[in-house]
Amino acid sequence: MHSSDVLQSARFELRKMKRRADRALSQVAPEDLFRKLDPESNSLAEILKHVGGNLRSRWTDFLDSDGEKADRNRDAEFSLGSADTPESVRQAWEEGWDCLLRSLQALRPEQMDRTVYIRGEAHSVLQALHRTMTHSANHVGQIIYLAKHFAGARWQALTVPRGQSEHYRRALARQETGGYLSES
Amino acid sequence: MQPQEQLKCWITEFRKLKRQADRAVAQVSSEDLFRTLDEEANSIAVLMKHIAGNMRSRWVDFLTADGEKPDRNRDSEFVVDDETPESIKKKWEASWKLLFDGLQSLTPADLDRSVLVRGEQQPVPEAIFRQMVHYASHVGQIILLAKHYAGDRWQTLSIPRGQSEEYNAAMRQKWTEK
Repeated sequence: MHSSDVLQSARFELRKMKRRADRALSQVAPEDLFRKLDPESNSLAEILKHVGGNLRSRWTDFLDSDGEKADRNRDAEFSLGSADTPESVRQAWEEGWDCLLRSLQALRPEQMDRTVYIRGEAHSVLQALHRTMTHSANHVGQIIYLAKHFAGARWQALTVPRGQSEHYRRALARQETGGYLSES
Repeated sequence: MQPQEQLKCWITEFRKLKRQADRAVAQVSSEDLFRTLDEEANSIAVLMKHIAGNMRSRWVDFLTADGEKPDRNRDSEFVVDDETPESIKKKWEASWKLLFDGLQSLTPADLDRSVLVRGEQQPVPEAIFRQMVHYASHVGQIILLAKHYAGDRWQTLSIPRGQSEEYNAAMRQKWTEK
């Protein structure tokens, strides 16, 4: 196994994750970005700010500085004020992902063994990458779930629609494609 | 990079995912396992059954058989009418055991092999990354629902709101003392 393959797989999965979240978000009305299931739960806007803030902090100068940046205000990611608009939360989200994907693009396979710090805790680059993948996927799952709930009848499925697994399997066996479906 | 390091990373992440899900599910009443937000939404029970079904299919004879087993009935994973909390939990635990046993038995050389999923060739690392991301996204959904249903009783799995600064300071101290 080569580090370059791992890096390539990780990039591929992360891009796919971002695409799925964006497709889900595109089905949500702007006001639903701020809706909450209950007062303690996170709105889509807060999840977008949080993932954006996390990725930006972790992947800015990530080989040379602690992944928890001094200017990150994590608590502020979970509170919304008048400055938070659909555009501003989308911007935070995009900036975080941009930071991650650029850093991964620049990362060389031989750097995977290097040590990086998150809140002073040592990780290999490989470990930090795994942490980012599962953390981001956790929240992307939540984004898709909430987006589907809020979109209601308008929702267009991102994966194999219910009751169509068999149909899908046969179609795939015929075509041998399947790149558009992540997992199921 | 050593293949052993890669295997260790996967095992760590999958363990973390299972622990998060278990800690969330433990805070939910039996009825709430089957509750749904709307008619189309998946309950926690459905999410657990679906993950278990996918995982079982992928990890039975992981290296030698197609990961989509002929006896897997994916659509039935979204039906829980005949299930109980115990029957769901049993499937869930059995599948995670398959995954951990499978991961632990992989040798460095196995990471150079490919597996089939629905007839599609996937290098082993790619197949495992896909699963990791797939399960992580559903675990995120389980946590979201469990927190919502647990309400005031909820004990957070991550850093409590408003306490990020204290947490940062404590962690920095912990890791500089070492």
